[in-house]
Amino acid sequence: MQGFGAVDHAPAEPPFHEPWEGRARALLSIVAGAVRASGGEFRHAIERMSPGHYLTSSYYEHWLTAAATLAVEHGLVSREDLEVRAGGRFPLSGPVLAPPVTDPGAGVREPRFAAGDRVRVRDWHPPGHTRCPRYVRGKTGVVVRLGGAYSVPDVEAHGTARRHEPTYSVRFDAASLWSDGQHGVSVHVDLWDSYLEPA
Amino acid sequence: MTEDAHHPAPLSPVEQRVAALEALLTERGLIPEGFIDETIHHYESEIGPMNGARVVARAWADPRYKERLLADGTAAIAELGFGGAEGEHMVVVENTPAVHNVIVCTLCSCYPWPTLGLPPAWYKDPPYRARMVREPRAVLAEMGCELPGNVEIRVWDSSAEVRYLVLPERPPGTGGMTEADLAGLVTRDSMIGVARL
Amino acid sequence: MNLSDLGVPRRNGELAFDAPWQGRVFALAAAVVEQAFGGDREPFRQELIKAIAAEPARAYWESWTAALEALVPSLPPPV
Repeated sequence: MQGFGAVDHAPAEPPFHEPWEGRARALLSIVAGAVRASGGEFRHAIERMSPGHYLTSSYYEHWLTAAATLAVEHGLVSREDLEVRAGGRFPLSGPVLAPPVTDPGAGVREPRFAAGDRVRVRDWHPPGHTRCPRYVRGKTGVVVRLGGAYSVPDVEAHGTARRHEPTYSVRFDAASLWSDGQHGVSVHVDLWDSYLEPA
Repeated sequence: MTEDAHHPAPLSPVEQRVAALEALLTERGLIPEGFIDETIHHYESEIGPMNGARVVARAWADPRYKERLLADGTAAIAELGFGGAEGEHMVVVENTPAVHNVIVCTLCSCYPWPTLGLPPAWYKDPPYRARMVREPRAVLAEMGCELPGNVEIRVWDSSAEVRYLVLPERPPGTGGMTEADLAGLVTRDSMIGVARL
Repeated sequence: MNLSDLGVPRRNGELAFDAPWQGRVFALAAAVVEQAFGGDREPFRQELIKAIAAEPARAYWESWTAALEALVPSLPPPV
């Protein structure tokens, strides 16, 4: 976002400007414990606030919204209850953009590819976080090395689920990436198993 | 604005933000006593390319070590006592007369801290990150590394957990040198792959 | 003040930080990773990637600072 200047947070600011802010902090702690939300889920709940709400509300109101959203989404309280008790509208964060990862699969997925296999990078543009560089999407390469199994960043960013998958070092000829006739140049990218399909 | 003892220069906006972060995080109990100063000292003085240079020199001097280094970089580098954050999954790639390797991180700035320290500014900046996967031969030439047209270039984009280190070719005429002297020949840029020795 | 003018001997050939605030924000991020995320660097790395993508022309350590600021809401709330 542009043009908003530095975060306006003076070092000597007292912890709470208003009593409700202290309660918002305590509420978030209680909700966090009750729903076992990860740092990633909190962060995502705040990110899901409507831009207008986010920009016009304070830091602690972001927390209050995240706590209320997670409480409603995890079934601790209904939205109607909140609005009755608040005596009016209680804006919550928007829905999760990426499909919820409720079943990441048991254990580590078995490697689907071996060194020497030709693979194609899925040409998808996930709405959430990914570590698949754009310049290889839809491109075909060859697996040169089987890497270790690591937590898939796309999964981790959206909740408590963790899915470990093998990674591969995939070699792409530069000419096939850029269609410019480069020769004798290859680019190797480390990619998670689910980023790839057989070519 | 000049400084004097009674009127220190005002903090820039980003310095204010960092001070605010430090106050907030300290208030939360997340900053152990002495942690900041120890961390800065460690990354300024205790790790750096002199570590990677020792790994390279050992590989040049000892063919068995070189085999181990190419087979399992993390374990072989740990033999010399180097490891830790951003060095947990090391792969060492070897330069030969026919093959030249070069490292980049297009997404952010991933770099093998335990062997090379923190990355130089150019490594983290958009031109290097975008162009090294797009036109490596030209970028290398601009950086002073002209390669004959028949040398194969392999670019490694550190997009997942692996961190790469280039094993440069041993320069000719160094046959009788001690390992310590060999280490003195190895530059940081040769271990990133933007220079040959 | 330019640190490199001091002629400080450099074992590794180049200053890691051009100004004190850079070292401090680097160390702050390291502390948060260790103390609040149990050593898992992935949450911070995600914010860094996002911060760089959001403003590619911004100076690196300013993106680093923005990434750490973005991580603050995910810190365990103090009780």
